[in-house]
Amino acid sequence: MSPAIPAIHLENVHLTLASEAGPVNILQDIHLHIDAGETVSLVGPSGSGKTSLLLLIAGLEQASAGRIALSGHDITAMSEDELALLRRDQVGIVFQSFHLIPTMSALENVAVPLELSGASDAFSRAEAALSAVGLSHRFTHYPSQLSGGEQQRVALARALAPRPKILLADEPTGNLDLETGARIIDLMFERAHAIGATLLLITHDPALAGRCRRQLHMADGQIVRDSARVAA
Amino acid sequence: MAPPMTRSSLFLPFRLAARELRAGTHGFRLFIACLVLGVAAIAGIGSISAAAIAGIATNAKAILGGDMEVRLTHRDATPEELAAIQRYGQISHVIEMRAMAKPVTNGALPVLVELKAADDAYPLYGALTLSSQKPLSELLARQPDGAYGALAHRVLLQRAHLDIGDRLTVGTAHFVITAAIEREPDATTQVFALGPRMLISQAALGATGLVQPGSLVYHSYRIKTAPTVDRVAAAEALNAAFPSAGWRIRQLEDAGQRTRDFLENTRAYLDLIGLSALLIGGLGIANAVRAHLEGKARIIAMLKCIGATTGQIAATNLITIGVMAAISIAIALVIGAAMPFAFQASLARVDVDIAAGIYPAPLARAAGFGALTALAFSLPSLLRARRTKPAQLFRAAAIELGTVNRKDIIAVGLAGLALAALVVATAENRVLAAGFALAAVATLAAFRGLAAIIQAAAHRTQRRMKPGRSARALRFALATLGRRSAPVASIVLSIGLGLTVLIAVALIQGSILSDFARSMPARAPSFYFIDIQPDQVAALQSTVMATPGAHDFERVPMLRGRITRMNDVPVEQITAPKDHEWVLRGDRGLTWSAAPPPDARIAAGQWWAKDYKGDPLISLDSGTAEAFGLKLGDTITVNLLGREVTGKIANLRDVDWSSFSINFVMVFSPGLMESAPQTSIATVRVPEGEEGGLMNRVAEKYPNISAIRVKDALATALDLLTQVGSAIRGTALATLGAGILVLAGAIAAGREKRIYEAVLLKMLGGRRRDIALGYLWEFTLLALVSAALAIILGTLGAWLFLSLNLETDLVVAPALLVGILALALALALVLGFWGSWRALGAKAAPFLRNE
Repeated sequence: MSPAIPAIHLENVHLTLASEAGPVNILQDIHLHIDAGETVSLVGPSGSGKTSLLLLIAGLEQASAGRIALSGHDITAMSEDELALLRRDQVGIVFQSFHLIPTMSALENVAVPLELSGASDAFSRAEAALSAVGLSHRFTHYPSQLSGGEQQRVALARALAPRPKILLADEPTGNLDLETGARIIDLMFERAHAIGATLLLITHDPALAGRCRRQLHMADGQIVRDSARVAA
Repeated sequence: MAPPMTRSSLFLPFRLAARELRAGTHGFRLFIACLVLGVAAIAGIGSISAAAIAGIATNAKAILGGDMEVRLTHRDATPEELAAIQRYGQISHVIEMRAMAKPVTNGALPVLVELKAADDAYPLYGALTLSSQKPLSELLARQPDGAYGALAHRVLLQRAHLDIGDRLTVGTAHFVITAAIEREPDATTQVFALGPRMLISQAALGATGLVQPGSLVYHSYRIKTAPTVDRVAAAEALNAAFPSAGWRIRQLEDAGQRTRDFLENTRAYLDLIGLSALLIGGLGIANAVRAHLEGKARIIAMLKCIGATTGQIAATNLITIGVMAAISIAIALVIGAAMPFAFQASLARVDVDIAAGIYPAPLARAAGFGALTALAFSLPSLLRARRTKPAQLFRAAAIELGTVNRKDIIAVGLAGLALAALVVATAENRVLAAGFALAAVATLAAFRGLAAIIQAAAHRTQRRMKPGRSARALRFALATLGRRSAPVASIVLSIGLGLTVLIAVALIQGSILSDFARSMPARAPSFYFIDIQPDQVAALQSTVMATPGAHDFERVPMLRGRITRMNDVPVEQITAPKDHEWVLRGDRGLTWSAAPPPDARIAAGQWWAKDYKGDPLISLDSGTAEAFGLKLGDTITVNLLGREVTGKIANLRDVDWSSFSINFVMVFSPGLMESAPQTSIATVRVPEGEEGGLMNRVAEKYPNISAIRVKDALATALDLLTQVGSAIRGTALATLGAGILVLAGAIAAGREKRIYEAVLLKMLGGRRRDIALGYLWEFTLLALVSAALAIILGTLGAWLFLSLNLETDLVVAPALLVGILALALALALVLGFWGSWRALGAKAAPFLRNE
């Protein structure tokens, strides 16, 4: 039996950004292997490189060196549009600030990624995704008419509706109160599990990090501890 | 990995754009206003001009006076010629000449009139509108006391203070005014005439004794042809039957040619001013699109995060902007299309009958300009938007649009080039349009450069200034201006471009008017005397020179003839350059002379010997020679009273047509010409106070001689210029309006930032007065520097236009420039403070709480 293709694979990845004071090494020599269906949290102090790592994995930032593969596709040499299409088909993203489109209703917001992929049943699938996060009564509401928690649920439905293989979340509860945040997290784990998506989330919350099977600790642009590996 | 093109994804950008547009046009008000203003100006100008030209075509039969016209100068048709003309249909014979009409009832000065003697068939087409309902024959009939009935145009009644029933003399005949002419069907407009119209019978014309050999008399035979007549074949047959008749046969297509040319010229200039308004509005469009897309940058970044390609982003935004442009253009076209209806009545007052209607061609052209302007000015932000970096969503507080690369610059350049190409391709005067396009680019670049210099200088000066109480506000202003994000370019361009156009237009108009009002009368003689019979020359000279202060009496013989061939090529086969069509169009004044004219500059060849009596030689105006490619030794054939005379070009003369002295395109050698029937033309200068007396004496002693007072002729021309001037000023106001819109938009766009800064300054102890003083410095500096460059560029533009197009000197009116500076300052301060007032009064707490 051939080994399963990893959901996320990084080899010897470096990220150096130019600044007025000269080049800054953001990430150094990152090696990472995440299997399909794993739940992984990314923790560490501000400026440790968590967001940069997430951006590299989402294809939103170009690595200075090394190789990154998502579900077996090497993304390091892909063009901007090829990366967009890869995200469309394989990656869902949940932001801290939701980033819903204010001129579109909840249903339309969720349908957008499906429409981008040319799905003719975009709206029925969007309805299903919204219903799955408990918002079947909010289809026609605009973001400004929704509470913070509801907005994040719409954002979650939008990220999951195309059934991505990878779900990336950047401090998804950062803008929510504890109780609402907890409900969103339950929902996120449940939905990610339901569609078999690999979950990689950034958080400052140790309890949330602890819900993931694996914890990656970052400091100074490096993964300093991989708790799952330690546990193994 | 190419995206699968399903029908659904193909239409996705349309769906996304539609969802965006559901929010309404709120963020697009400036965009719409700028585009509507510019496109409506161009559409309106084009529509009115098309309606006026269509009006001429619609009324062509009335304007020409028939279906075709055979026109003879100096003589009437021979019985054989008349018989031939009559074969094609009913004819009306109309005789026209200039003459002096002397009111007898109120002792007023004689007035130069355009005399017209009509037959009973007049008018064949159209209607003569008179103040009386009586039949024409009755109104023109001889009265029991021997006076003839005459119809006077309302301008004649005004000018000579006459009324119906008043009497006047023309030549040796007495007339009584029986009715006023309200509208003459075969006169397109009075503005080209040297004098007002007086209509009499042909018997009355005979009684005046004015028609003598060599008098400048025009005989028109208008023909109402039967429907079966082929007019072109008829003209060819008449020419073939009477090859040396020397007549000019005009067809319906030639009707109102002079008015058409005039309208087209006026339109060309108005069009460029309208285009300026559109281009200035383009800046507003650029600002509005940038603000819109910057506001949308977060959504664009998010869409890219979830898989939208750069193409889908670009298409969605292009569709949104395109829909807004289409709405704006549609509004503008409705306004433009309505213009002919709105101006119909006021144009009718100056005898221009326009065919009010909807004219698709000028509307399509305006729409094309609008679409290309919207595209060219939106493109930089549209291209940047598709490159918005989605990673900013995770990091930056404010999302910025992407950067511009070389390909983008090429795309924007191509859009600009397409706009310039449309300007040049659809212009009447392509050289002028190309010059305009170049000037527009240069002006835009100059103001952009100025903005960069202001920012750099402000930045540097502010850093060098020592902190102190006195210059605190100035330092605050310089710091604001020096900031990279400050809208200096928008403000400088919006103030500067509008003012540049305004200054150029005002200086051009001012220079032309000053030329007419001051320079020309100073150069010109006081009078032209025409139709002087050979035996009157000596007597007239002594009468005229007896006037106190009279000087510079000049006289030359004059004949009228029509050029029929150049180098043996019939003129019908020669295509004249647009600005020299007049040389071939009608008959030309010719003279002959043994010696060169006193101030002649011979450019090529040599003047003939004083005693030369050989074959006719010609001295030709060098401009005409160049226009028709004629050189020394070439021949020109002229028809003089039915006789063809061919002369060889012996020399070329440089003629200054603006000098107002007697000038002729062609001067013949003596000999053959001396024996032809001819009259003389003379000029003289007399002190202004003597003009009336001289007019009276000449009218009394020599009733057949017409005295054209140059002052009156200039006043007529000035009148026309003033009318055109008001149209030009109206259009120039559109450019100023566009500038104001753009300026207001630029200031409004920075309002939130200003409020935030003011709040921070107040929190740190700044007083409202300090902040207000800072704004005062900022807007004053920007206004004065922009206006200064606008004055330089506007003056340069006016000078180039005047010297290249009109050969007129630039007259700079300091009061005008001071006024423009004041206007710039007022605009900048009013709009600046309007945009910043809220910042001054803003309370700190709400802003800081939201932070």
